[in-house]
Amino acid sequence: MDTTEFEQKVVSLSPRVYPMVVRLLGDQDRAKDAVQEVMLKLWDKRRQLGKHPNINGFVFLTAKNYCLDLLKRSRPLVIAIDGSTSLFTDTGSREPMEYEELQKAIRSILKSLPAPQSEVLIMRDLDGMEFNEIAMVMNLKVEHLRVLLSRARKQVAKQLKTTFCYG
Amino acid sequence: MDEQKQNELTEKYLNATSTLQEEEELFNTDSPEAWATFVQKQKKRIPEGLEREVMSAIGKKAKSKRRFLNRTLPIAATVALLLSFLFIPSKEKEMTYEQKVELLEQALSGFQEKGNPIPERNVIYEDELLVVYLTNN
Repeated sequence: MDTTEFEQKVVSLSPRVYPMVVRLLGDQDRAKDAVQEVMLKLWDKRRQLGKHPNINGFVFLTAKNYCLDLLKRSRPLVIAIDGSTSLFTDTGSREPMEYEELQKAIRSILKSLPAPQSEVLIMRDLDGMEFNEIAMVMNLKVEHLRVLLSRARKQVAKQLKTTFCYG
Repeated sequence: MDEQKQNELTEKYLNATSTLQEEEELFNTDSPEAWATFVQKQKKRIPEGLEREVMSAIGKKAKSKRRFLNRTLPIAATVALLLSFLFIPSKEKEMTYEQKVELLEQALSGFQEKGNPIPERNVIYEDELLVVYLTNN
């Protein structure tokens, strides 16, 4: 894979990988550096990468593993299995009361879901990943992912409806 | 987005058969759905020029690697050349004329004994020009 091809097929995924990296690391500056490091690692492997059947999935998997390594090195691993540590802590300024309530409710709903379901839901809806990318990261088949995601979405909708009158 | 389309998209969304674009469309409507509100609020702003910065880092890395190779390759080549002088065996000493003759004779004697032995001759007539003899074969 030459430089142009690498830029088109791999580096172009940086903005798409970024949300997942921010979520895992919980810090935007750190996430930016991490994305750069991941891309440099992939640059070193560009020869093998060219033959990979799921380049996008491999890029996301490398990014996730890199983030988990960083977290392991920097502090004891306290993240949940779905890696959703920073999902509720990175909102920046103080949110209106209503949104805080919503966050609290969603946190408890996600906790009540089986881990693979909440992980798929987060990757798809919050990180904006395609099914084949999630499949590579989670080592599952796309059909199985769809089932997990559908169950998770229905469960979230149902629980939000009982919690919020408009939900 | 009209209500019918929104209902269709919501159904597809719940069945996990919608595309990312359709989901984006669904979340971007002024939907009162709590989950859609949450997803919108959680959206991360992508830093400007992220791709450009990544490419620049890759360019720097490639350049430093090239510089390293440019410096080390001539040194490695010189070392390899010196080692080749030390370890490649020198040409074997050439044989003298006498040694060559001796070797040839040894070879010929072996050939005559084994391959083509001289038969026993029973001479019947012999002069300066002609020898007539019989053999057992």
